[in-house]
Amino acid sequence: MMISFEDFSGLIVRELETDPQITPDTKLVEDLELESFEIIHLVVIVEDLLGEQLPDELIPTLSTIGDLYHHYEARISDIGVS
Amino acid sequence: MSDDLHDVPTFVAGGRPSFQSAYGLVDGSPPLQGRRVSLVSLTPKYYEFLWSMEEALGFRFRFRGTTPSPDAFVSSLWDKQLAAFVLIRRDRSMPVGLVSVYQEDARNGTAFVAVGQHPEAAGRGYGAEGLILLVNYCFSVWNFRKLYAETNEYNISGVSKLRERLFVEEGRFGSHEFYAGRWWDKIIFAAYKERWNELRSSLLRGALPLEASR
Repeated sequence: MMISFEDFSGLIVRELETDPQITPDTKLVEDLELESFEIIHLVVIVEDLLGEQLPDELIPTLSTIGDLYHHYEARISDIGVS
Repeated sequence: MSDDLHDVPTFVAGGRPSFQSAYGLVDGSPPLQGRRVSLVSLTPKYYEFLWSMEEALGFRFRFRGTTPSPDAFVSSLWDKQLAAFVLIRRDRSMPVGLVSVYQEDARNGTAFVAVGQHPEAAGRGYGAEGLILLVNYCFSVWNFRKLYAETNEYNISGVSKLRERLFVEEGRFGSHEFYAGRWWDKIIFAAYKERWNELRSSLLRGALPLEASR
C-alpha cells in the first residue's frame, strides 16, 4: 500500500529524530544537515518500503525529502501497488 | 599437485550456503556481501586500482602525502595487515575502495580498522557499508575487545554520524600533522564490542542485501 507524504515524513522524523516540520522542499543537506550515512539510511527506509533496491546512481542526486518521496511514489506506481 | 585440490568449491561472495555445507561453517559466519558493496580479498589484480585511488586522494589515505615506490606501495598493502578487502561495487562489479584490519594486538584484544574510498565513488554509502561489514567481520572472526580507527581532523567524511554512534574518542594528538598550510589533530577512536553488539542488528539491517535483512 502506498503511504502518503504525511506518513512518509512522519517515518523520516521518527527514524532521524529530526525537525518535525519537514516538507517536500526540505533539503537533506542544507536544512536537515544530513551526512551521506544518514541519507543512505533514508534510502534504506524507502527500499524497505518498496521491497527493492534503488539504483546507486540515484543517491547523489537526492536533494530534498520530496525527491526521495517522488522516487518512492514513482516506483510504487511502476510496480502496480496502490 | 593432487587433482583433489581442484575440487574445492569456488567461493562466491553471497554464496555462503554451498561454502558453508562444504566447509562446515556455522550459522552466523560474517557476511562479506552487503547491499551495495562486497568485500573481496585483496589480490594483485587490484594494485592498479588502489594506486589510482591513492593518487586521487593525494596520497593521503595511507601515505600522508608521500609518493611511495611501487615496491613500497605493494608492501604497505600487506605489512602488519591482518585482513584486507577490496570494496567492490555490486551493481557494476567495480572496485571502489579498500577496508583493512591491521596492527592487531592479540594479548590485549585490539586492532586498527581503516576504510579508504575512491573520491569518485563518494556519496553512495559504500564506505559506511564497508566499515559496518568489516567491523562485523572482525568481531565475529576474532575475539577482539575493541577496534581502533585513526583519523585526522581534516579527513572530513560522510560517516561521522556513524562514528558518533559506534565509536568513542580515546585519544587526541594535538596539532599532530601539517597539511594544507596548518596543523591538524590526529584522533584515535575505538569501537567496543559491547557497543557493537547493541548496534549490530540495526546497522547490519541497512548494510545487508534486502533479502538478507528481512
